[in-house]
Amino acid sequence: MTQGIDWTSTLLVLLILGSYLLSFTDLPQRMQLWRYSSYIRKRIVQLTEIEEDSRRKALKHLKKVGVSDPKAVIDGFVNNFFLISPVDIEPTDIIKRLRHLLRGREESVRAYVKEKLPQADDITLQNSEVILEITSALTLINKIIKHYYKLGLKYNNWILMMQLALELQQIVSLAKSYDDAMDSFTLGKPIGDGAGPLVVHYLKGGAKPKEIAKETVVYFAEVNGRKVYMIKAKGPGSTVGYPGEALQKVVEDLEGKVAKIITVDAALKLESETTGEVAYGVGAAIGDPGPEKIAIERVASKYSIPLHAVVIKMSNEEAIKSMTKEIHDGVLKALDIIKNMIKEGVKEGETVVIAGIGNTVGIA
Amino acid sequence: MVLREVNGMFLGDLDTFTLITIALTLFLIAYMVAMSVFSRRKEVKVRKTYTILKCVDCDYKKEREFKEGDYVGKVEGDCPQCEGPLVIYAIYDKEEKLR
Repeated sequence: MTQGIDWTSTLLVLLILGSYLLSFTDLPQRMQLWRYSSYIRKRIVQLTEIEEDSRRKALKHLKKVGVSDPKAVIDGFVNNFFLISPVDIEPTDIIKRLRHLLRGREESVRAYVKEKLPQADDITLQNSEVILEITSALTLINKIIKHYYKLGLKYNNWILMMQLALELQQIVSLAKSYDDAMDSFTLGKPIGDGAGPLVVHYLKGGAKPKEIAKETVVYFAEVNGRKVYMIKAKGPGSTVGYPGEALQKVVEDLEGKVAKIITVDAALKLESETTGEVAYGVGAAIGDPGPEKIAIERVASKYSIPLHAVVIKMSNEEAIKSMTKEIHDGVLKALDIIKNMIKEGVKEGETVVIAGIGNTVGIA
Repeated sequence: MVLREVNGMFLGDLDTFTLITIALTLFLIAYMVAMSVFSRRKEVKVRKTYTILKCVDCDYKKEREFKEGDYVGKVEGDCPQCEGPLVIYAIYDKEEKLR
């Protein structure tokens, strides 16, 4: 005859034992570390697949444009061309130093790509440059994630693991968008960030371009008796140009006799906002590291010219992927707002300068 | 003997602990089945890129799938209606549902 188990006592003993284990040992932390590290490992596999896919796409593109050893070109680019930020505890002339470093890096990258693709035209060079930059960025993301993962394991830092695991979904999503964006650059499709240049493209009508700064053009047209100068990067290759320098030159050439400056750009939307929403305000709508934005602000304040901004909202992912219909609809809305700003805010005979900020890939 | 045991189970021979364990297990199984069914029902969407062409002189407009070499502002032949220049007006992605 078997005796029945006293479940109540067993449960009580288990509960007490369990509470001791949870309260007086680091078993829960070990379990968390194990759980999060397993999750991170799976995401690292995903990131590695994305990185390899981007390399495959870059190899295919470089082969197509006539590079004999594309693997060597990618390996020579990735990990190199880093930029060390200028000293910021002494801010005097920091913008000048930053501009010098940024332009120096851009020139080195351009020289490297040109050396590997001596026969390529400007559009192919610009697109290949961005493709290599994306491959390099994805390699860097993967390396940083692996670094923190290994650091967390090394020091049993479960908080670091948890933070990394919680951030990873967003990081993987961003990496996936970078990989998707490769198609836009290899095929030359306009991307979400091209919203600003596209507004200028529609506004310029049949006006002829004049190169005013490196890879940056200006158009002139008369709209309802107002003189309109429009600046954008020179397309259809992948470039953002130097809109700050170009705008500064235009305003200086006009001796500051400008009634209004309008900048139009893509802006990061909040999660509650919808893609393609358009908003306007005051300031320079430009997301560069500093030199171009400050050039616009300085010239506007030097001559006391009102500085307006029109933005088309989109997510980080949408900004680097192919332009969607929602963003294109936003471009048309922004165009109407700018036309209205010119009509109502600028008198006949006065001058207005408009700068379409962003990457002009796929937009002439 | 087995039958008697099973009968006993349904007749209420079970203690609270076993009942809670069985209920929790059943709930977990039901939850997992429901999750797998609902996740399979998610709509699959694909993005396709379209090129929109417009005539500079008349209202003629045409939409076709994007092809390599297209860019906004590119002149692509003459308008079939008025023989004016046909220009690429826009290039954008549209989402389409997959059944």
